[in-house]
Parts: sequence; C-alpha cells; structure tokens
Amino acid sequence: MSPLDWAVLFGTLIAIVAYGIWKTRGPSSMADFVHGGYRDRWLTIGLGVMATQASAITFLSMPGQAYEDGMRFLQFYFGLPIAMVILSVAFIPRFYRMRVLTAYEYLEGRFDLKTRQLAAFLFLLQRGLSAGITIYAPAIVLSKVLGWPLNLTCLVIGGLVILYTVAGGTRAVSQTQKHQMVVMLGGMVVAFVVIVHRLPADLSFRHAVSLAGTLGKMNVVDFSPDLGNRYTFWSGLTGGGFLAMAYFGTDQSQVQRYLSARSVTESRLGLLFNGLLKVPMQFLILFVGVMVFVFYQFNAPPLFFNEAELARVAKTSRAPEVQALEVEHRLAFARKRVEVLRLAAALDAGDPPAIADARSRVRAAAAASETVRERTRALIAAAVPRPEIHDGDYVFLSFVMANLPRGLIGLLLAVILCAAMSSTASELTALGGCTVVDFYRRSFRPDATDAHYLRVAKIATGVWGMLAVAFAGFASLVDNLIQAVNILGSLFYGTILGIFLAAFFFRRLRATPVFVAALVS
Amino acid sequence: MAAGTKPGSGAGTNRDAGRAELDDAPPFLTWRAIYLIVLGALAVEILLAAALTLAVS
Repeated sequence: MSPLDWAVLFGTLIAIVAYGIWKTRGPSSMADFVHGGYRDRWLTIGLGVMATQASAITFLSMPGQAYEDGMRFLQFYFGLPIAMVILSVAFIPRFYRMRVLTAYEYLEGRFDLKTRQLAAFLFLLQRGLSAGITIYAPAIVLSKVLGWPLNLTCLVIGGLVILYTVAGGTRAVSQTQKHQMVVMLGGMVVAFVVIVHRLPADLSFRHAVSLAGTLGKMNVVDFSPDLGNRYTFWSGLTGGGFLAMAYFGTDQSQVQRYLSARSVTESRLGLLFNGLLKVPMQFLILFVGVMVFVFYQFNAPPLFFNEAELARVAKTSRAPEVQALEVEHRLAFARKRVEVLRLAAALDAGDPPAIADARSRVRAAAAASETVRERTRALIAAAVPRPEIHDGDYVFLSFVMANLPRGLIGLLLAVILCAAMSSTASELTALGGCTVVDFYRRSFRPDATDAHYLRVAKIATGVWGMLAVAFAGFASLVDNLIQAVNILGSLFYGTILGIFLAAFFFRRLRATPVFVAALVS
Repeated sequence: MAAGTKPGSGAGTNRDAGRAELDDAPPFLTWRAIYLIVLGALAVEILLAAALTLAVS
C-alpha cells in the first residue's frame, strides 16, 4: 500500500472516531448512555440501523458471493421492508408506551421478571459471542491480505471501538455511524464506477451485464417453489422476513438504535428508511461483485484469491503441483478470453445465432476454467493442515489491492473497517446497557444513584469489548467456531421473537407457559 | 434521574411528548401512505429484478 492509502485509511478512521468522541463527550445519565438523550432524527436512526446491520463481512463476502454464485442472495432481503412496516405498526408503539430502555424490559411488564431475564440472557449469550466474530471475521481476511498479525488487527478494530463507545455511549455510536455509513456507501459507489471504467473500452455496459447473465450471474429472482433451493423469492419473503423481524424487533443492538429517536414518528421513519434503501444497497454491493466477475473475464484472475493459503502449499513438497495448476489456469483463462471476446463481438453485431453459439462456447470454457480451481481447492485441502479452501471472502479485497488506483485502496479498506467498527459499536453498547438495565439494576443493586449505573454501564461496555477482542483472538484456535456461533445465534432468534409475538398478540397467555415453552424450544 | 427498578421506569426522561404522538403521522403524509410507498417500492424492485433476470439470463 502506498503512503497515500495509509493516509486515507487512518485519516478516515481517526477523523470519524475523534469526531464521535468530541461531539458526544460525557453522557450525563444512564438513559443518555443507553439512548443518547433521545435526540436522534430519522436520518440518523435510519443510517444507524443500516450501519449496525452492515458488518465488514457484508462488504467482504457479498461481492465474493456474487462473483461465485450470482445475484440471487438479494432475494434474502425481500422480506425486510415488510418486516419494517410490521415493526413500525406493532413493535415501536408498544416499546414507547412502556418507556423501556431495553426491549426485554417490556417483557416484565407483560409477563414477569424471569421471562424478561431469559430473553435478555439469550441476547447477551448470542450477541456476546457474535461480537467477537464481528471483529474476528474481517480481521482474518485483512491480516492475510495486508500481512498484519491477526491479534494486532483484532486489537486495532476492537480498541478503537471500545474507545468511543465507552466515552460516548449510544450517542457516540449514532454520530460515528452516520459518517461511517456515508463512507461505506460512497466507497462502494466509487468502486463500482472504477470497475465499470476498467472494463474493455469497446464493451458496453449493457453487454457487460449480458455477459454476466450468460455465465449465470444475473439470477436475481427465482420464483420456483423448490424447497431445496436456499435462495428463492419465497424463502426470501418468508424466512428473510421473519429473520428481519427477529433481528430488528428484538435484538437490543437494533432496538436501542431506534429507541434513541426523539419521537415515535422519528423511530418509525428511521426504520422505514431502512426498508426503502436496504434492497437497493444490497443490489449495489452484489452488483459490484458481478462487475468484478466481468472484469476477470478480460483480465487474468489469481488461481486462488486467498493467495496466502496458496503460498502455504507452495512451501510444501507439493509446490510443483501448484506451478502446474498455475500454467493450466493461465491456458484455461486464455481460451476462455477468446470465447468471451467472440461473444462480445456477436453481442455488438446483434446476430442471434452467433450469440447463441458464442454463449455455449463461453459456458464450456468457463466450466473448464472452474475445473482447474476445483483441483486447486482439492490440492490445498490435501497439502496443508487446517486448510481454508473457500476463497470467496478474498475476491473483493484481492481485486481492490491489485487493481484500484492509489488512494482508493485506502478508501475501500476504510469502508471495511468502518463496517466492522459500526456493527461492533452497536453490539457493545447494547451488551453493556442490557447487562446493567436487565440484570445489575433490576436484581443486584436496585437503589443506587444514576451516576453509579452510568459508571457501571461504561465498565460493562468496556468489559464486553475486551471479551470480544479476546474471543476474536481465540477464535482462530478452534475449528468451526464461527459455524457453531452462527448456529447458536440463529437458534435463539426464533425463541426470542416467539416470546415477543406471544406478548403482543396473545393477550390471554400468562408468563409461566411462555417461559416454559421458550426453555423447551 | 431517580433510579427505576420497575419495568418501564427505565427511560425516566421527558418522553410524554413522544407518547402523545403515538398515533401522529408526520406532517407530509399519512402513515398508511408511507407504508404503501415502502411496500410499493419493494414491489417495483422485485418486478425490475425479475425483468432483469429474464432479459439477460
């Protein structure tokens, strides 16, 4: 990286963090710390809700997913706008009527203390573990690509976040998220423009999209009722909708974002803003991945995007096999490029039989090229201990490092680090707030002063932050930890949403049956 | 703010104004119209996405 990239990267991060600390220094009460003094307008709420959900993995993995699997992941977000409308109608007014600090506080008013603390405990367990993963997942990619030690990368991300969340609480998170979201969206728009600009001059944008479609990357919507297919219109509308309802309606890291609004109207408008912008934003991120794919139809991609992993194999006795695969990869790419150029010419000429013929040739050449990559994965799996055989998370960053001009590399890295920091910051303030409001103040020290609770909330937020950094450092030592945490998290979402839906819509239900049902489920 | 220990006493700040406007719409449109805009935008996005899929696949 050039000095200009370092300056852009650290200039952006430090400016945002310093602004957040300066603008929000010294929250004066517990409510101030948890909900930022109820001052936020709808735009701040909307951007904060979006920034909380958009973790670094969104910007690392999604372009890579589109590169490999096309646009179909977009359907996962089709249920989200519907969920935002349901939350605006049914959830927000109820939270406001009870004047709660955390979502779980509502459950004591409706059911009892044990149901409230069960839901809060599930949240702390799920979000506490995933806060570590939110730091670890981008850190592992960044450390490999930039050559930084993994623990140092975790410390940089976690340390900066702890600094401004402990200092300014939710208001610092809201203020920084606004700017982080602008950097994230602006960075992706700039990346998109640069990628399209770097496509061959004689390839029109329409033909670039057509080429992507020929190779199966423009499969945005699939109406088939195939239950074995993970991403269809129907699964996105139902599964995606319920997941969005659970995440935005019952996860304190999101609930505290919109409960920090100055009124119900601002809360609702903030959530609906998210509902309006989410699908286009995800479309842009996925489409960037598709354009990277088109770029690599004309420019040779690396044999394996996680080049550090391939370098590990090159240090073993199987290095000659790597070299042989590199040669095969270059030959397969050259053959595919000839067919791709033929297709581009046929599209230009508008000759349907020639287009159909060129399309089938491109598909055959792409399949041959993919076979070489499959064999590379098999070689990595066999040659090194604890192999990482999926390189999708490295596609976008590898492209950025190799192809973007100076200055923009720093900006795109800032996008990824901003995303990691914004989602982690929301998680930490929610964890700290929930620990104090739902457990410490409710069950251990009910009669202390507000200043005492504020101090404890800051300590709790800092401790959760240090635990997250420690967990992120520990994560690399345990196989399949990320999958285990993700599975654990997804199991709890159904239970917590079920408790809230029972509270809202089944007036005759009493506390103990709900508590027992939640435990059993 | 006095420390609250009962559910719902947590906020403790002046949110009566917020409570009063639970059923208020923003000044420019009714809530029903705003919900329709959000859901209508989703319908348009799905239609455009389906058209794009059909056109280039």
